[in-house]
Amino acid sequence: MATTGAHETDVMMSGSKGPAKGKWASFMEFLYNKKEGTVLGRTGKSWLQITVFYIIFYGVLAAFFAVLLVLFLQTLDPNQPKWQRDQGIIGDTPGMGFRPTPKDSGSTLIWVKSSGPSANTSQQYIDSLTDYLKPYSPGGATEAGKGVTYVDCSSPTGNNKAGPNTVCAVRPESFGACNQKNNFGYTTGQPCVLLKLNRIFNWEPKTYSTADLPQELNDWYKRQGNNRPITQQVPQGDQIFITCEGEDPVDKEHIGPIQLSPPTISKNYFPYLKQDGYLSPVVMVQFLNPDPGFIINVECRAWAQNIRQSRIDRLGVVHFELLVDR
Amino acid sequence: MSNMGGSSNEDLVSQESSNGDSEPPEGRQVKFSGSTTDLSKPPLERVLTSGVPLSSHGSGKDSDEESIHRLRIALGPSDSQTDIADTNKLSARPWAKTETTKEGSAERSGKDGTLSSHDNQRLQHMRRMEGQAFNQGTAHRPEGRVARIDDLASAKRNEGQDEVLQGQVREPRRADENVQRTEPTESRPDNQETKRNDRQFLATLSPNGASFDEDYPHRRPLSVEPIREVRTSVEMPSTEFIRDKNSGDTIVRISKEQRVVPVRHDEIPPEAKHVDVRVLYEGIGSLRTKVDEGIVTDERQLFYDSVATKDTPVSPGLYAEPVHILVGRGRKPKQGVTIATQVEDEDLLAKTICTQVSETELNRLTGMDEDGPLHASTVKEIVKRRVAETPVIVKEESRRSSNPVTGKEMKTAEPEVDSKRPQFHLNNDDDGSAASERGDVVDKTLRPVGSCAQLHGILRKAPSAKWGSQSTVAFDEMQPVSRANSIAGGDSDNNLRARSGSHPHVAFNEAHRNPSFGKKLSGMFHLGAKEDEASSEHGDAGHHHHHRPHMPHFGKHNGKDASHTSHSSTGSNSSGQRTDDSISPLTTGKKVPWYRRLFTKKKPMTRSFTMDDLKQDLKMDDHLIPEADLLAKLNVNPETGLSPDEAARRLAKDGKNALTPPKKVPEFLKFLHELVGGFSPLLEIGSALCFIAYGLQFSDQSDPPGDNLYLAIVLLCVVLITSGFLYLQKAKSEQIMEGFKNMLPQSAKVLRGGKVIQISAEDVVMGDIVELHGGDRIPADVRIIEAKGLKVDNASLTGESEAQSRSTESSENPLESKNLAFYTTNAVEGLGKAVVVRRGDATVMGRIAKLTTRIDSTETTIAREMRHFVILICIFALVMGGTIFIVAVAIGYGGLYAIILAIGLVVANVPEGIIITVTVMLTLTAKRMAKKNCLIKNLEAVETLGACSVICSDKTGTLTQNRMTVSHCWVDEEIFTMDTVTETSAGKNLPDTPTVKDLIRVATLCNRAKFKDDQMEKPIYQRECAGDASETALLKFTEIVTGDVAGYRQKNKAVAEIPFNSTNKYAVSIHETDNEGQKRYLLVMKGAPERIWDRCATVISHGQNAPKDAEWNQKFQDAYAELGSMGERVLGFALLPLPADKYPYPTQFDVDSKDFPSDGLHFVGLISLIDPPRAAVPDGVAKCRSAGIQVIMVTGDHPLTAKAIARNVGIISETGETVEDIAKRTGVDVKDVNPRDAQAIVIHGTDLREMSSDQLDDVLRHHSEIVFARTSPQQKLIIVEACQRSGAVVAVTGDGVNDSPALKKANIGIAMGITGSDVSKQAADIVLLDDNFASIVTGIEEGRLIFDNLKKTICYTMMSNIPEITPVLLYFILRIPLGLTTIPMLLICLGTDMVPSISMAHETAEADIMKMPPRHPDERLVSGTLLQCCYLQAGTICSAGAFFAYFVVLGSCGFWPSKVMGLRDLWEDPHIGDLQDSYGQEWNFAQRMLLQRTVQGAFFAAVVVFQWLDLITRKVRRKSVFQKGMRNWFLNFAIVFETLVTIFCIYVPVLNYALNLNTIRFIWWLPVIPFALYYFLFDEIRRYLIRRYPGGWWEREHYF
Repeated sequence: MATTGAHETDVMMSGSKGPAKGKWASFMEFLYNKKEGTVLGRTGKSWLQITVFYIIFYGVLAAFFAVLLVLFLQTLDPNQPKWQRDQGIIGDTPGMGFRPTPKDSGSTLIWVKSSGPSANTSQQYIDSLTDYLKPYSPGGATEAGKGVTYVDCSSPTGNNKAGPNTVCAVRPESFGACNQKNNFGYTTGQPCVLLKLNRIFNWEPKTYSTADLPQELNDWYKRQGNNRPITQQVPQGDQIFITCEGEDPVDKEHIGPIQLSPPTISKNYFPYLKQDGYLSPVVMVQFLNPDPGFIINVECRAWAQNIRQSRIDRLGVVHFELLVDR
Repeated sequence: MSNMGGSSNEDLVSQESSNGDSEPPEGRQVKFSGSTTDLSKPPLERVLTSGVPLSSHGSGKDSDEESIHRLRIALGPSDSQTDIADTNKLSARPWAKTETTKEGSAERSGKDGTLSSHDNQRLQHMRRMEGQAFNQGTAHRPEGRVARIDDLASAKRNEGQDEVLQGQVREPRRADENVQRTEPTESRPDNQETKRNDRQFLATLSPNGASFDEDYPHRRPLSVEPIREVRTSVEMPSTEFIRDKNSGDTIVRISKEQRVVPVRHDEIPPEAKHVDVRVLYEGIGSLRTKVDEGIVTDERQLFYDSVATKDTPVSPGLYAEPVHILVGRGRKPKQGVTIATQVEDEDLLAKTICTQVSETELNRLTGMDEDGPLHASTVKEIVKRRVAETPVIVKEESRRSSNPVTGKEMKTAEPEVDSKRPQFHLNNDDDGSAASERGDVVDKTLRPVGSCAQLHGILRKAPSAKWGSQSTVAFDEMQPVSRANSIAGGDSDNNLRARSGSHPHVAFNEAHRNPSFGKKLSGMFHLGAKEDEASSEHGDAGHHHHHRPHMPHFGKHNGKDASHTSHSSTGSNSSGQRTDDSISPLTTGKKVPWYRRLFTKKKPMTRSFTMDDLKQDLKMDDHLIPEADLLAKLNVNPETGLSPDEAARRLAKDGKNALTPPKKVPEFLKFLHELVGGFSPLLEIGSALCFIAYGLQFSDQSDPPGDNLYLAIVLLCVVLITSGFLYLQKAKSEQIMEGFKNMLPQSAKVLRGGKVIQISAEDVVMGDIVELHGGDRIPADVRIIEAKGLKVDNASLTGESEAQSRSTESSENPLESKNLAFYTTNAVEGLGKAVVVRRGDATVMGRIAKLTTRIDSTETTIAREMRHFVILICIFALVMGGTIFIVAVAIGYGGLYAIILAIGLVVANVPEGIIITVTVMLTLTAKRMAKKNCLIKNLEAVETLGACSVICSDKTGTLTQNRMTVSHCWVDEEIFTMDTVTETSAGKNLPDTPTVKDLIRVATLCNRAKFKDDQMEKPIYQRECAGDASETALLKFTEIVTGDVAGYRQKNKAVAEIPFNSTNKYAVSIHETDNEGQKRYLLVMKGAPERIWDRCATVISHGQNAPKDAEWNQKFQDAYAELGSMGERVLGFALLPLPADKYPYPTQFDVDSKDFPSDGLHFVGLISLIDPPRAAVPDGVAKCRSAGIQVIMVTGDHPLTAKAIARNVGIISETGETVEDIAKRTGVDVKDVNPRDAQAIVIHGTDLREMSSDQLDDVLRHHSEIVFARTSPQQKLIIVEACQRSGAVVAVTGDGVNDSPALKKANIGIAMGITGSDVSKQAADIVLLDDNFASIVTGIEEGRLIFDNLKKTICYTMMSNIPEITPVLLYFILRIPLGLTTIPMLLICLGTDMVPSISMAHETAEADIMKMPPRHPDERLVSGTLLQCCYLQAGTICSAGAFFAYFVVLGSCGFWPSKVMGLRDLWEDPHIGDLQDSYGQEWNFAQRMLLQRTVQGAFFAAVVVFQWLDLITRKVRRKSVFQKGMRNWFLNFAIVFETLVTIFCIYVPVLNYALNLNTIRFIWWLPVIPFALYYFLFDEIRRYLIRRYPGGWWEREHYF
């Protein structure tokens, strides 16, 4: 009687049949039930069966996935993206890149320490630029390895133009003072920053003619060249213009004179068609006399009719900070 | 009584009995007076004589001190029993059985007769004793006792012989003790002899009166001894009322001689919330004494209720000393806790029943009424006698207590007890004896009824006592063990202590049965630590108390006195302030442990009805006090009523006469409740974390990305929207009920200022004179002051289906008292005038309504499932989120990053929309069910109904039409069966013979029922009639057959009639007939067939008038038996044309003198009536059967009727046989039939009462066709619980107020919309608008369907969790760009998935779900296989498909899969402006993010597309989709709808940016399709294999 009573009591308490176990106890029993020989509610055989089932299930699924993926990849042309420019997500306006990129990611500050005990920290920038420019140097890895024949497209008026089988050479000589020999100016407090347009497959710039240059660009050139006419500052022909400026008035104040070399990018370097050994055309911007001790926000822009500059999306625009300690 | 009583008593009787013989008080007075003489029993003496009452049974392991103490208290008396047994070789068992076995049938089953003979014997003993043992002063004592017995018997004549038995049972023992007490004095040499005699008497009595309690040999004969310490007696002149300065308590000081506790309601200080009465006695013979504030008092706390019980047998001289009664205030006994344990204690009930009467009576007796002292002379008598006797007794006591012999006796009893209960050795003998003593005394004090069994007897025999009593009984039987445990387990408080003490047998008994579960039960009852401590201390204190004789002469014999004194005071203190702060001055000053003060927590009332509650219900004296007093008290003139002003004043003071609606939860709390339910907390935490993350970012950098803030707000919105939706949904369903409740505005006709006006029932005030008319609803609890044929239908309150007449007579039990009518019951017919005595919540109905709210309703299955599910998912989500957070931090990510990651995972894991979906689905189903007349009150009940495996159904009204109908006629030696359903065909198969015509004629004429005036347009069966049920049935029948009853009656006017009454059992009327112009008289008679038959001389058959001979007699008997065996109500009909010569045309018949013949009639025939089953019911029951649902009929009707109906509707099937049927068929004795062979069983309510729960379980297990007949509504609760014990999900139908506990207790309560009482509707989950059983069946079908569909929905909805989780996981593991961010995840859950999942509600059943057994209660809604199917199978395939789309988009835009792997860090670095893809294109950050949004768009679209096929697949759980078809247009539309939503989200420019999506090419919708098809195919195969190999491994693992 007593035992039945106990049982009933439990039933009443737990609201279910069977003696109520503690939650923990029943959980432990769920984990391993010695009597039934079950682990997590299944016997070894059951586990085996279900495991085999799911191995097969996932095996087949994985195979199915793989087959479909391979099939899909078969539809892709390795030489050209399926969806290009506007059709693809990348769009019709290239972004811009700059070098050297600071080693610590998450920052775009180029901190030049030209003297003092930590002067050698600039070495990373020098190395970065050197590395980046390796393919550019004659006899560089790409040129040598692939046997690509570079043509000189630097002349805007020239006939040499990038094409499916034509790769343009970018000559380090054109970088002016920004070369490895003088450490790209980093040791002298006149750092050079490499600017380039992002590659977009099959993208070609629509350049401005000198006549219809945007006012903003004209103004910049005026400031830059002491009111010299723009034609005296840049080569003739289809050019992408590059400008660099302090972002804010304060930055403009501290940025000092800059030197672009080469001053523009010729349209002939485009389009990018995944040519072997393709070299992105670059422009070196050298800060000749930035005010030391100030972080200068620099914003460089590329100018062409089909470059839609957007500071938010960073299209046709690049931003970095410069700090020169002297 | 008179023949036994001494002369003085007789005087008393004559004095007192002038009130009239119907009332018992005078008997009581006799008793009191008799009791004054016996002072022979000093309590301490008993302490000393009794051994250590260690129990040999019970809780070996119960370490709770308190319980031990209580047990000891409870057990205490056993040793005195042992004592008796020891000396006299008389086993204690018989008594124990009498007292303790509630189910003991001995008393009930007809041994009373023998007992009463023993009674005589006993009385003779008493007389002898009287002669031998007592001096002159005490000479009349026995008579007093005898008188009491008689009194008891007379007072409870209704209750039958049990009561007498009780008296006997109690008597001998007391006598026995008296003798014991006198024994050592040596002044009475004969008393040894007397004692022996007494014991012999006991011995002789026991085998007959009660069976031995073999199980518990030491259980003492409980309440054998009726000694009361609370003296109740005639009024006393010397009463003083002292107001205690400190506490404001009123102390009633009563002088020595007083035997009455002169406490009345009026005396209670108005501020008193509850009154507990402590009886303080001082002086010699007191059990315990205590010095408190200079007054030597003994203090014992009793409850007001028990102060003066009607048949309180007064202890003869036990306390012949001044008594104080402290009327404490505000110390309301904590009922919930205490009572929970002893709710079911029938003894309490017994006491209650007795108590009902007592107050008034007492007041009247004591002269505390306005009338002033009435019985001074009586008092004087008593006083005189008492004074004379007292000293003698004191001497006796002191001697007695020191008697070493008794001590020895006691010791001899001890070891045996001890051996079985060793842990009690801890306590010294004194403790035990004291405890036992106390228990003994208290027991005697509080127990007027001998035993539970007796009580049962009483209750059974007094049908109108049914209500309160049976309910209690029901509770008791329900869970005797639990109660026992709670008592034993020490989870009670002081209150309980007193009670357990007062019911030692209960404590003993139950502790004994199952002692070690007290703790558990205490948990069950939510008893807190405080109470436990308190109780243990009380127990302690109590027990010290007991053995601390404070009286000097006692002190001598007990060296421990001094040391115990302090303890005792502590004890009394703690008991005094048990429940709250205010400490009575008498008990103040002693320590309440500080911790207890700290934790004075309130305990929730958890379990069912409590005894105290019932007691309060029953405690009513308004029906007993003289009418004039009552009216005076209520200050109303019955002729003019209240003045309007006075009424207005009272209304303003007391408020509306209405039941307080259940406390409304403030709306904002309801909303808050939604905010913390379901998955909301998880999302809230997520939102908070996002805010924190944003805050950190904000403090970190000046212009942080707003992503986190955005997400935080979105999550918060999700929570708010979800909660708001659920809140509104619930508010809506509540509104339905609100409207339902207010459908019937009530009005009442009251007499105000001399005029009868009709007012709203709410405005009725106390003392209003109300006019009652047939058809009215009683506006409050009223006392009838005038009645003309007034009948009320108490069915909703008591379950009695027959209307009961009401008059001005009163009887003790308010529920059976004829002069009370109760709130919300209906006056059926007649007229009456009544005065309002209780209104609103104070009414009996109000009480029950309130009590019902305390019953915890069983959690609905779906609620439980959802809770399981939510918890499961939450744990899963939190574990996953937590793990990834830890891993992320461990491998060096920033905390912020890890948090965001974890939030992503949590959000991915939580099916945010599922709660809403489920709610909407349930709502949809509820709406559908409402159309089928099932009004769903509680949404979740929808599903529970589907799960139900047992239906406990009412008969009347639910299974039957609740309309008596003629079903058979016996005429011309043939039984004709009538069509009971369609009114056009009723009686059409009767042959057109003269006999039939005669029968119809008699039935037409001898019938007082009439159609109500405005009813003539309606179909006959729907017309309302005035008249009782059978006459109405006959009226309708004859109306159908003859077509014009009224006209026929008009032609044959009644000139004299005697209506049916229960003594005659027939109705007769004389009509004029116009026989060919010759006016003659025809006497027609109908009534109980045997009565009619007796009065007949001839039988009309086939037109012949045959003389009644033996052959006819046999024919009649056979026909009667046959009709009777169909459970039908049979009426006989006879006629007699009065000879014209003797009764010429104008003759005046005088009904009173009966100047017409009533013998020698011509018998015409029999008509039997039945309440026929509803047309749709047999079909419904059959459906239930095929659906594997057991239908149990629970009815208050006669078993035969019940069985007949059960057979008719199929509850007992064609082949179903009961034991009796088998016996009849095979011709063997019923006893020889193996009960297991019988499929069907009809259980009588009385048998049920005697069944243990095990037996009941057995019945439920072994019989599939069960009918419970003659049950009280309360027994439903037992049945329900038994069914639930067996694991069934139980649906209960009910309409009465008393059904409401069962309705609440059931998994699903179904109330009747038409006949149901409001209270039952409130307690129910479902209201059947048409009261039709068949509606339940459709409800069940819907419920089952919804369960299937919920499974499908959940499986569908949960699937999308996996394609939400995998992007985050792969993002983390494979370092690929994120495939799906949090916002689109929410969009899937709350946007696109919502409508399709809801559309599942319209999915039709796959198979005939009503042909399948109910789902196993253990079957989970969200089972392992379901999770496997949706997570491991569908989910992974979907993920694969979505990732395929992901790679397609990335690949065709330039990032090949090879490039994508490990790309994450560069991809997400906003400072990297030229990330090269597989084609050497350089992507800046914005471009990459645009690409990512595009990928997400594609991923999202892929999931949606996959869900198309998932939805189609989920339509079916077993079948093929091709078998099922696509006819669910809601679902088809949902597919289109979800696609449109997706398109909208993806392609609307700004919106898609906000949702983290981007437009995608059309072709990017497609990559997932192969996977969807693959899945579709797989699932078809899965289901094919399930169908192909039913029960096989595949089904086990893959069928959800």
